[in-house]
Amino acid sequence: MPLPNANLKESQRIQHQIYLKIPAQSRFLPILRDLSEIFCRNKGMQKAFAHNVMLCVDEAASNIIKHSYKKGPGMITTTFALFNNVLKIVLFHHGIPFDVSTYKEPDIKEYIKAKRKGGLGLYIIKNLMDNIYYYSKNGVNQIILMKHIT
Amino acid sequence: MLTISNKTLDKDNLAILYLDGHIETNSYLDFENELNNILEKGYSHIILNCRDLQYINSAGLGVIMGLIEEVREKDGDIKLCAMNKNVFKIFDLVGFNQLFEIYEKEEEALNAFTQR
Repeated sequence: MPLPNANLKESQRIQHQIYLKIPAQSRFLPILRDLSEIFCRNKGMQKAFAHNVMLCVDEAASNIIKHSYKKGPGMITTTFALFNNVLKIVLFHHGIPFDVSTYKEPDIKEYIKAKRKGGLGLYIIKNLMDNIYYYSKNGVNQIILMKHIT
Repeated sequence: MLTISNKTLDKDNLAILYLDGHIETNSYLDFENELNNILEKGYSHIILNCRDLQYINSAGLGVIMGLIEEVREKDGDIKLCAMNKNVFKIFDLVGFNQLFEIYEKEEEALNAFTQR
């Protein structure tokens, strides 16, 4: 079954939606991780599925803190919603938008040779979620993660 | 929250680190410091016992990725054991299972070092 577009029509019934707004600081990430897992588990998703979702949200928020807000403080608002059988998570921020064109699939062997420590987060998200989208408009940036419920 | 304890076998240059909790953005530096301490003390055969490791993200994986070359340059290695399914899946996803030896039991990892 094809995935719906990230801009799901309002007419599509939102089954459940919650949101969390946190300062863009790593000490608040455990709250976001906990909420990710609790949301998934409460909606009946398997433990391993919930773990993967939690990891992807953690990676996305960590990237926002590390890269988008590297020049100053800010907030991250995360919404969790179920649209029919699709989990949609959106992380909103007002920092520096991610430049998708700079992303390259990591070559782990090369990273090891170079003693590199970073660059795995987005790779993990891309491989665990069905889709990831970036939107940036009027200073508001969105990272949208989507995954069919299995 | 991450707690790390260790056991060393001096004759084999071997250290076992017992990882308990979460290795993530707030704790990966503790993990990195512990590994660096072990290396500075001359232990180059390292086993990461992940029995009580509940969570690891890219920050934690990055620590291992960034240090393994240095360890291998010293004729050592980092081997891992006793991972839970979720943690193993992440190692598998990023291809670490091809680049690191991962064992079910600590004893197997020990044997891999001591019976070379």
